Amino acid sequence: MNNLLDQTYSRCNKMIFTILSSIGMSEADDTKNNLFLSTYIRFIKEVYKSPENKELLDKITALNENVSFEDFEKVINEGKIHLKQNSLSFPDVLKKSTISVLQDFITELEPKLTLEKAAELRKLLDNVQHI
Amino acid sequence: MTENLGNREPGPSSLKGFLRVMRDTLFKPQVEATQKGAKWVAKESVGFVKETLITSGEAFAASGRVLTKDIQEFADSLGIHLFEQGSAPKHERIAGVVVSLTMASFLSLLYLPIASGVLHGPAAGSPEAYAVASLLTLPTSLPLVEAYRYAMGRKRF
Repeated sequence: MNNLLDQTYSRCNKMIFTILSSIGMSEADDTKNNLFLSTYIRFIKEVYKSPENKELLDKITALNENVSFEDFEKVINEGKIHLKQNSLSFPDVLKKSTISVLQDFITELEPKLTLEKAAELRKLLDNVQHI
Repeated sequence: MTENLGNREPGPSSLKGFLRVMRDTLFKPQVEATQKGAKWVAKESVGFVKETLITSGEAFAASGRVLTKDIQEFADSLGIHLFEQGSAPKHERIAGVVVSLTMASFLSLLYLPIASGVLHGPAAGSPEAYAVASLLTLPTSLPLVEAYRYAMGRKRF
């Protein structure tokens, strides 16, 4: 499982870098970070919405500043165990999140691009999905 | 009567003539071709640089707009209302963004192996190893620093 996750991380990173480098932005940290953060938020949202995580997340959202450190740690540890047992879908969710972020990114960028460049980026995204 | 050798075009058999033939047949066309090539490259470079500059600036803005949308939607899903940038007093903007991002990062405690992979790429060692490293940096420093930059207008979406 860890190997599959590692491979998915690498593929998702590669997807983002490939799209960025095609517009000459491979070293553009802020843009890259924005895309990674969006991917991360979408991933969390998907996991958050998942029915098998509802009970766990209800426990987490019930925590507040008055909770003892021990109780906090207990919930977090339970959560880690729960997610290890329910993480089969994570690589797929991560990949889908990355692709959807890149699709939205290109859609935002499209009005400023030439038709050829926009088509090139769309084609590139189609190709990198199979990396 | 002396022949003025200096005014006479040297024949190909002389060294000068040989060099002239070489210049006209080999080097001159190449120089012209190179100049043409250089002009073409320069023209293409200008186009490329121009396009890159435009898309670089716009790509940063586009990535920021995607992120803004995600932050707002995520905050909404947590029942947190985020102020539009510029429409609320600065301290309330800071509070709104910090609360939502801290909440997001708090939830992320559970998903650190994934989060650290997305943000930092695969690190040496197991996912758990860099999850521990990220535990200290991701939930606290990154969202807070980012939130501060956005809220203070130092970083624009």
